[in-house]
Amino acid sequence: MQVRTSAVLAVVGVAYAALPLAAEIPRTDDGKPDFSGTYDISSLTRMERDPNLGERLTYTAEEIEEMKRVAHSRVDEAAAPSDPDREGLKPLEGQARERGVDSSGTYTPGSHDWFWFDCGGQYCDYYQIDGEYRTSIIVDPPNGRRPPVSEAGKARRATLRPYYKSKYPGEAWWLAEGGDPYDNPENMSIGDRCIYMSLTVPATPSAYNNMKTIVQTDDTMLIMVEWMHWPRVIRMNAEHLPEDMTSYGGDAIGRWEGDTLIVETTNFRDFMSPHDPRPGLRIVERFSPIDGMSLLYNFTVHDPDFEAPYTGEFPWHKSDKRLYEYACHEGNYSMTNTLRGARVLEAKWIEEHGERPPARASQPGETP
Amino acid sequence: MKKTLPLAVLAVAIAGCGAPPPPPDEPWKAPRGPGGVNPDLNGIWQALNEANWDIERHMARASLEMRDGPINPVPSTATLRMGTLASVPPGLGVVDGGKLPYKPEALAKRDANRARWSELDPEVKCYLPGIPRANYMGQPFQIFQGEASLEFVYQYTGINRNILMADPGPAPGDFWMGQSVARWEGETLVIEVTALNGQTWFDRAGNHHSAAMTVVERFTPMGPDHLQYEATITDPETFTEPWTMRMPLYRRVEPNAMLLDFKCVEFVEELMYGELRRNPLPR
Repeated sequence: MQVRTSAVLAVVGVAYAALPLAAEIPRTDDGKPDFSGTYDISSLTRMERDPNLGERLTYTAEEIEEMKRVAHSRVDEAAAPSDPDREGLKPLEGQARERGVDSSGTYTPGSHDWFWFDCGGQYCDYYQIDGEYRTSIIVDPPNGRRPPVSEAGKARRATLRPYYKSKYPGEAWWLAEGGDPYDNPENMSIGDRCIYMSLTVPATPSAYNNMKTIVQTDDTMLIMVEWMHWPRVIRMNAEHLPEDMTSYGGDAIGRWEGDTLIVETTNFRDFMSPHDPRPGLRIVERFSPIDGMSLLYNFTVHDPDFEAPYTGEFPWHKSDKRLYEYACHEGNYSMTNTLRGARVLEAKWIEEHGERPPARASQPGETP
Repeated sequence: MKKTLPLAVLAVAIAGCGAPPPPPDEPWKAPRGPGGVNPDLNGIWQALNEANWDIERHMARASLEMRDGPINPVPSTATLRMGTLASVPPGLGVVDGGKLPYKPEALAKRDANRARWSELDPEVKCYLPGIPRANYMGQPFQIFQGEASLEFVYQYTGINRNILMADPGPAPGDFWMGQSVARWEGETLVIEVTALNGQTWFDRAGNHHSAAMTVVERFTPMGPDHLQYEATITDPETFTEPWTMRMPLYRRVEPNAMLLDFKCVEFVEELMYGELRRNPLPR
């Protein structure tokens, strides 16, 4: 591996203050930056900015200090030994009942507590670029939020299968209110079905499974995504597949512009909910070296569902952690249990309320 | 990458998958990979044999899953409707000696597995196939070899193996695809696979192993478009002695060769969950 001192810091205009000085960018035999390595993209920075912050790109030092203090205290609390005399978990009530789930550790069914969540780096952090903490991943539009939904997007969304919010799971509410949330395995989200996670392209941070491994060769770049063991094979300087060859992760073609790798992904396969992949979506990603330990990841989503494209960016930092096997489908008892549980609740509901209403297909645009 | 096949390599292909490669007429050395030191294994590879049906030598049969008939065994009800599509193509086997050195009770389990193939084979449910089976499933896989990094990606269900070039010590748990630690021995990439769970099979014929299994794989370039693959299996709970399988792997030489999606999880939802639909379909 050749290591050349590079002027990329000046060109890209980016310096990452928290890292040791490692300006030497590793390069492949043909002189291109070598991004090979394992990265941890976990962070607490949100995709969209708090509207109260307007067009402010960065947090103040005081703001970030307080935000980190809150995050650290949650993690410390979750990692502390549990009180052996604590009360048992209560059935969902109040707002938790409305949401259908709770992560406070008070109710059942609960969620993971903070001990299990990736919250950035070793001990919870927010993305910083140029030494400043960003208020959102999205940087364009300047308000840091996705543009308004376009007329085409509204029309398309009206044809989608209804998106079911979590509700109190203790009774077959859908028999009274309508809808088909648990009628079929296909009614579950594409993630619950262990098929695909929409955070694969563009890559965005999530509650866990934030690890990526890049292996770069002469004619490909592999981005191995831990969540759902999803390999993104980027073919260099190749042509896109014909339009009818679609997949959830799309077809990714790469090219170099100077030291920046540009990847264009198209040929997405249609799926049902608003942010899932689909035809017409085009995503352009830019990978630029920051130093030997980090790259700047920039993406622009060209989505006809919105009035304009939107762009986001954040750093990827190399990590000495490893990707582990994500064997989701093999242990997906939730599918069986959710469907079987719904059938049990339906039988109970019919027992209490009389005849089972006729089965019906969901209606486009229906709000349960 | 498009190259013509050397005659010696063709001869190996014709001779079948159990035979070791004959020495080529002239010494051939693989091109060096990234970094210039080790052979270049980059590319899309695929086995071309009957191993995923049955790694042992076997004659053709009507189905893997047979039941008693009035005169001869006949295909099970589960495979009956597939007719010839469910029949097993014959093969000389990829195992040294042709047959596996099972302990008696493990052989009985193999036969029981085979009798319920369509129900028990992890491949039926799109489960991760484990090692060595992933390497000969009838679909291509791609080796990504950087200077210091190595990753295998299989088209079947998009599974990967992160090949570690430094031994991190014992894995923290068992995995469907195990933990792979590699080293170069001259022209051969040697991968030691540990931490495999006991839930995968070697093939559709019910050949099985326990979680005590370890696998030592050897990938050696034979020519521009061929690798020799060997895997030595050690599993004292299942077998009386270690045994080895060998086969050539072929480069997919089509200029537009690439891995495509084979995410089979959704293919098996009706099979696995269909009975739990609110309105089940006829089965």
